[in-house]
Amino acid sequence: MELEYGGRRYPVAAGGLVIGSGPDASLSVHAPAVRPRHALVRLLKPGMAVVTAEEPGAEILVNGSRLGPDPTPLMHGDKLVIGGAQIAVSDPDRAGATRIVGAVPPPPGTPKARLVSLADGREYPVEDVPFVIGRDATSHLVVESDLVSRRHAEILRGPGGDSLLDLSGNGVWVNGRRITAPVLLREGDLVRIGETEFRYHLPEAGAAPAGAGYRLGDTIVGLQAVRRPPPMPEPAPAAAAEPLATLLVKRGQRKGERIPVRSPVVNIGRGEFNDIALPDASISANHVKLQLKEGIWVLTDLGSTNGSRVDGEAVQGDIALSPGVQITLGEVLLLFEPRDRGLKRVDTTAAIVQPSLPGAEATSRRTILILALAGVLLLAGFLLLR
Amino acid sequence: MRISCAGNTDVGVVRSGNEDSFLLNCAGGLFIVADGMGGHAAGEVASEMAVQIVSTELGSLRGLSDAEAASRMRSAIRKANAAIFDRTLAEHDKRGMGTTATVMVLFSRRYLIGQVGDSRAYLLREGDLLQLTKDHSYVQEQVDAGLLTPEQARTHPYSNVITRCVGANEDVAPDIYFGNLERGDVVLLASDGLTGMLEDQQLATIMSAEENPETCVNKMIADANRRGGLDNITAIVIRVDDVEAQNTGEMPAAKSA
Repeated sequence: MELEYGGRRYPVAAGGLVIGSGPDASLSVHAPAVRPRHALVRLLKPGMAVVTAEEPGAEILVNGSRLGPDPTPLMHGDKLVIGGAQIAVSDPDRAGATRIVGAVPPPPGTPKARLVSLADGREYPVEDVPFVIGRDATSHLVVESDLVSRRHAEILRGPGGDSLLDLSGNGVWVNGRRITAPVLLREGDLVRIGETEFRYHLPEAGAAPAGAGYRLGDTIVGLQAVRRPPPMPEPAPAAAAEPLATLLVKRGQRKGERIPVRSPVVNIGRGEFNDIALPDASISANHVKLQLKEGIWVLTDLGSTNGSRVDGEAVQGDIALSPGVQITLGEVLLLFEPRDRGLKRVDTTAAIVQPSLPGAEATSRRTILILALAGVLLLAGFLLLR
Repeated sequence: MRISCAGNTDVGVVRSGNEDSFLLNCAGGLFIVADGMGGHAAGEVASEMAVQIVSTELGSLRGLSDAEAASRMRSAIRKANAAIFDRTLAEHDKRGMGTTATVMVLFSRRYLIGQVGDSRAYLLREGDLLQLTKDHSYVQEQVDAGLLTPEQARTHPYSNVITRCVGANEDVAPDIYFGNLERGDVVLLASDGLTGMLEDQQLATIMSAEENPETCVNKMIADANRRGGLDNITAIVIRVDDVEAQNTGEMPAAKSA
């Protein structure tokens, strides 16, 4: 990890790096509000650093948010502001500095998107996400104009593709229309930032669309069981419906909030395009997927930078969630509370994947018989005890 | 109605056998795409049975009212269902076989579609692509119920689960769709090996750009293979050249086509 300030680079050494106005600060910032030892940046592991205020009241902003007393993770592309001075966080491994790596094929299913400037024809590959467009020199794509904000727009990557998010005062146009919400970018879309136009391209013959592998796996017939949600009380909007589960935020920006999980698959991450967006710097744009699979809630880490833990255990691959477990995403702590009704619905969900073969019915009848027998025995035992 | 049409099927890049079957009867105005399932070549058997039985049972729809034509379509697909289901009971290695069926008949200036499963019919009219059929799939039902977004549905692990199938149960209820055709319309029938690999917008681009149905079909199949060809790919493209002329497409398949 490195910090960039005033055109210089400051590597974060194992012992940490002090930012301040004093003599023992490795990165000197001279401004009225800056303390001699203002902030300490420590390296936790390669690619991950945290910043803490060295004195109470020493103000630090990360990407515009004022920090509390807890150590805050810093990631590539983050911007620290101390006493009005802007310091960019960069990870040389991710910043495109030349390095020699073994020949690794690009992961399948990630078509290479790019923006092409219609002013000068330059191409900007959209690789790191969030891909920042703005006036600031550390943006991935720098657009110099008074009409352009320092951090004007971001491209975020979701399962459905790249979406464009307007962060500016003056607006972003896609195909001639000003966007008011994140917009999914399509091949050939025209993006206007300030007075400059860019064409968004995805390679013509790219990879299979996301999910094609699932869809085109062996087709399975399920029982025809239409799982409509139970009739809702009149024009009650979705918000009024009972959620399948809730996530109680115990630590993090939305602390104290109970976030409803309303569908059997939700993506959680920092990006606005997620079903549940957690605006916390320690959370990756795509962090985890929470999913009800055959009656069991399953959490999958989507390759997040800071990882995920369930009751302290690191999530590798899929992990099943019991009611009441604590989920840690980066620095955010969530309490997982599934709802009974959700679990009931699970049973019907699970039923669809049972093949509707002629033998299936007989099996379930046998199960009912065994259950009935068990019930009778229990009742007999109960009466005997009395 | 005067139409030009073309169809083709391709094994794809990943699969070893082709379980899709299709029927292209341009003169009779009858088109079927069936995507079979079930191991040990049973899928091929199911999709081929569906195509043959449905085309034979439909006969001519000339002079029938919409309701009568719909009822004929239903009973043709149900007959195919019964025949396939009987074989799954009788032959051990055919257990679990079944097929999708998207059946389109053109008559007068109209189309009639019988639909079971997740093969699809699309209509391109004045540059807009409209999906005429709705998939009988788990994810589609979840989308309808508001529990999944269409984007989530595309990437859902259960997106290969269909909820209606010809031959899997004693009986089946096909969906029936009617509509009018106009000059310049382009219709696409396709198995999920095509629609799973190419997004709707990509289909629309090819259908708008390629005048000739045959080059259109070949380009779609080539593109699906270039993106990975994960499943068998079948496509039928029908272009409506004129709705007033009376030479073709008037009369659906004669019996035993």
